[in-house]
Amino acid sequence: MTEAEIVDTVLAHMPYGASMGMRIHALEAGALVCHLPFDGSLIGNEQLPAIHGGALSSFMEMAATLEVARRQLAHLDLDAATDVADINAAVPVPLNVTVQYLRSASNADCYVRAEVLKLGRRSNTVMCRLWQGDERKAVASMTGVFVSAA
Amino acid sequence: MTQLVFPEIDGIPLEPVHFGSHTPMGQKIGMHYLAIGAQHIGTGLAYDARLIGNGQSGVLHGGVITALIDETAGGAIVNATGGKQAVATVDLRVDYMRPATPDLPVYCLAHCYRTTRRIAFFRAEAFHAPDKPIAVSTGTFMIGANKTDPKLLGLVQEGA
Repeated sequence: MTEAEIVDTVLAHMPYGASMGMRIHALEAGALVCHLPFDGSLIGNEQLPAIHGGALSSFMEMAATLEVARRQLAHLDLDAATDVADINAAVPVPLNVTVQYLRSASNADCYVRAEVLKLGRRSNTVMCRLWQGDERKAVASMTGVFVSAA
Repeated sequence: MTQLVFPEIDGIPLEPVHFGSHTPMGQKIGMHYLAIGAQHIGTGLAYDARLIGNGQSGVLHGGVITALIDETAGGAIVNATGGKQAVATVDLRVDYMRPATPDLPVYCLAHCYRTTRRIAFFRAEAFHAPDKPIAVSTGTFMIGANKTDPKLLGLVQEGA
């Protein structure tokens, strides 16, 4: 199973990702970049307007889950067509996340780069950076620990 | 439609209310305000297949819980600070104690336990029943973070 098949399969079985409208943007050597097209339903403050902090944290957490899954499941001998149940059973679950909100997120597309800092047998630490137009201007960041499924 | 009834919690006087979130994202996850106290806000959302994180287990995604906690905490802080200033999340940490059980509503109680001129601190828990938390969270908000009129967020009663 290729890395692209892993992230596509895991995202396809993550209904919350579809309801947010999240997409895979790029598979890099040491990181996964995801894309969240702007949608009015993501807004948390209509007066500014600004995207809801919970939408940003949800997006980062899903990107982090996909990147840990890509790195963990790459070692397993699974087939994207026939082993969907095994693939989903192997997706890591979050133990904790810490989110920093650095700037207000305007009504524009969001991108997140998720990078695994430590890939472990039991726990995996992931760092995410979220931006809108300019990658150097981080809008939010997240560090999370994800536990490998038993 | 699941009935959302905020459970009684020992030692915390809460007034029952029932209105939907005023934010599009809050509406997307089906969040409702259910209880208000001086420093507390209680909210809840019904189980919804669109919010599942893993199609195999049917468990709600952790991000749904975080979004619920974020908006509930913001509400508790707007409420505790008199609703005169806009607030924005600075940071939050969420520890996931156990997965949410499929088909059950999730409730959240947030407590704004300390405010300074510029910063407010909160603790929050998400749960099906208060003695078994799904997630425990702490974090901080900036007070007066922007020019938003908090009255329009719907938490502040007319004339307050």
